[in-house]
Amino acid sequence: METLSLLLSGLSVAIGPSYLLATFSGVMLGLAVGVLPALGPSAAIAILLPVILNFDPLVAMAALAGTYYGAMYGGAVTSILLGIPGESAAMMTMLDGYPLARSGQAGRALGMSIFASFVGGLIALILFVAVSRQFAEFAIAFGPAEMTSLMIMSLCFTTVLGGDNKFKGFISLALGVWLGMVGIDIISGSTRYTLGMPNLLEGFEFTVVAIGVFGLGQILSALDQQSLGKLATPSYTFRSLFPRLADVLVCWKDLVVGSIIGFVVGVLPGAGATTSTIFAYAASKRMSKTPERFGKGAVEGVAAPEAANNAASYAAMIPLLTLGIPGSATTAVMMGGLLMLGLQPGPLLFTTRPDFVWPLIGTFYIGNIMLVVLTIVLTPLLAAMVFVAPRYLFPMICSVVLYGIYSINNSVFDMGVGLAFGVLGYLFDKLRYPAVPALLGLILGPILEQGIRRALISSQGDPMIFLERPISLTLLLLTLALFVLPAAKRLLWKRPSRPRTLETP
Amino acid sequence: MTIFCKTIARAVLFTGMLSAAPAVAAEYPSRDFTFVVHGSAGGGSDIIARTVTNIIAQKKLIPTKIIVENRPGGSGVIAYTYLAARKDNPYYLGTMSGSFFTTALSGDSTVSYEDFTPLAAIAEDPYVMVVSASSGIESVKDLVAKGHANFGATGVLTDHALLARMFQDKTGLKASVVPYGGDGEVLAALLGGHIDVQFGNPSEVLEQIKAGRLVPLAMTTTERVSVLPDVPTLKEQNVDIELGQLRAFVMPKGLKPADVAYMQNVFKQVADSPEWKAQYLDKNNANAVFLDSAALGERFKELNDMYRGFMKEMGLLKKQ
Repeated sequence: METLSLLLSGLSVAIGPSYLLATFSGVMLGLAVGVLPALGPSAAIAILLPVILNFDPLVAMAALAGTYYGAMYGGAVTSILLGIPGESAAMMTMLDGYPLARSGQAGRALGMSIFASFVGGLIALILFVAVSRQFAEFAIAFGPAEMTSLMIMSLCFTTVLGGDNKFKGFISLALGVWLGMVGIDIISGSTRYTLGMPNLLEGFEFTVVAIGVFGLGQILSALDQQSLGKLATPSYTFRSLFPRLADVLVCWKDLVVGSIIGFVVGVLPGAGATTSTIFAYAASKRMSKTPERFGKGAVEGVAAPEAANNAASYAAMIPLLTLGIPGSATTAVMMGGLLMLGLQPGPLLFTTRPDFVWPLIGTFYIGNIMLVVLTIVLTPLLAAMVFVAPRYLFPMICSVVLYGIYSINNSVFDMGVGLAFGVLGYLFDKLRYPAVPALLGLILGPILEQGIRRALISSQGDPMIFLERPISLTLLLLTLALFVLPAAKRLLWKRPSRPRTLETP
Repeated sequence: MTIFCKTIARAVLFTGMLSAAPAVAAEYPSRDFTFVVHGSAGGGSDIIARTVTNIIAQKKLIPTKIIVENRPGGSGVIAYTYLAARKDNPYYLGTMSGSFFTTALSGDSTVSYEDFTPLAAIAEDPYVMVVSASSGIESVKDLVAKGHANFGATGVLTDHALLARMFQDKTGLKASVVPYGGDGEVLAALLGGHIDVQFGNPSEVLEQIKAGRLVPLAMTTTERVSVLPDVPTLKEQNVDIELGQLRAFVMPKGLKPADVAYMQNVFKQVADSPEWKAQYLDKNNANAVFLDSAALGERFKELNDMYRGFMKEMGLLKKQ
């Protein structure tokens, strides 16, 4: 109850005009960078940081945080409309969002992503207020051994992404894991597969690879077909630009489960948000009576990961605000911001500065409502993009994404890398290899590898560390069950084995 | 006609250049500077470069402007290579960090510290050696008595890893280095009990110490820091180690000594200013330090030797 009154007093401060304006500016900027491929939330926050330092700390943090969760909202837009995920947490949304948009239901897919983000945000914020303390402790209990088991579990989950051929999915995943090894190995300090090029010392950037494989690759494949006219599905109607509220009722289970998964996994440092979208998608597919629709435009396939990544964006701020530990690249920049504003994030922030923390949480609530209103108004405008003929749209996409790639590091080399991955994306498409597992391998592979090696260094080489720690053991057993149970079921009940045909677009 | 005009134009241009050349040299600086930052916007090196630039502009220490340019990537090699290629040009400044030495020693960079003019160092960020309060360790002695400890580091070729190795050499404690992606991850691992020791930045661990979750054992620098007056240095505890993070700047090679002296003086004025103390030193709990070009050159040699020895032990030196 005391928490509730603190929250209410926080909210009453947060609706002051200067805070409203700060929240509004933040979420607008976040939406804008989220919508542009290649510009991620941490870049936006870094750009904003020097500007806002002259303001009151609460105004500054309201704007910074708004940019962060605003970008999570906007990130779904390019995934759905163009099939180009701007950041890793938006990739699972693409699996069903893009097929929906191509079949003339862009507005419906965008609408679902907005409702899902709103519900995810709301559930996460309620949990945030209720259990943030306990959750922060849970987050730090996650060490290298636990992280390893979690990564093994999520890589196994990527098999539910299907594809007409499990073997091809596995090859794609392995390629991604290998690509993730390029650069300086932070554990040993030696360089791997850099071909002597300093530009490759830090490895491949997710955004550059994703834009290449999905954006440019898709354009190359399209050019390959006889006429570009074939691509434009003519069945778009004005109605298709608008969200459908009824979808929320159909997907309520996926929304709730996705939000909770997003909150629980999102609080973990590292790839919390991305991992949570994989889990949410997999859970949603398992719960569905018609799992074969997933990957072809199932609206639940948009609902679950979008609810998860938005819930995760709030959960990621818990370690920062309750313990003073930045959990992600973005929250690390925010921590830099707090320090520059003269606030010391740490375990005492809640007790010493309730006048700062609670109004800040208040601005999160208000920002979440602002975003839902803003994006619903913008949806028809954005969705109208599907009416643009490919001969105009493709050159536009090409120039925007190439500029975007260049702007990440001001590097022409990166543009070359993006183009090279465009060719790879084209080959994937031609040979019918799914590209999503490769991108997941690129993101999760290094976390898995570092987890294993860190755990073994700290246990002085004893592999039992993975089984001795309870959370790690539980995760490994769950993963095992994932494979053993379906097989056991088949054996025990002697059901005729029904071939599962799950195809990616 | 046109040929005639062109000849005249060339002659005019040529004489103009002849007369202008000495004038430019006489009034250094007469052009804007480019400050090449090896990290991305918002990172540590970027914040320092922008703070210095703002102070120089506020106090009008030079008649021209300084433009900060971020050239991130390649562990700094992109920026170092770019700056080294601006040989003889006194209008470029650059930031540096440990990778300035390690990338050349490992053979990943074609330019080494010898391809630059050391300009000045204006601060030193200390490290505070901390352990988790739940570990029961209260002093360096307690820690050494443990026999083995896991040290968190932000990579294997970093000051943290170097400090852990030095600590092992000086005390006999067996130190395993567990590299993480950043200071925040190391801190989380320490609080979660996954590692035993961190060499942390005072600003980042101070609140944890106040909250009683971390115990400070020692400072790694020559002097104690004002925010933790009761924490003795390693030297005071008879462990012969001294290493902080030097905040230093470089310029390209082949400059006139007078130009270097001019810029060195500008940085000296920054280091002595109350603005620098307020905007950087106090906020980051850093120590005030000033090394001029010659002293910094000496320090670079020492650091390079230290990294060379360390990397040789790890088998990471470039194969000859």
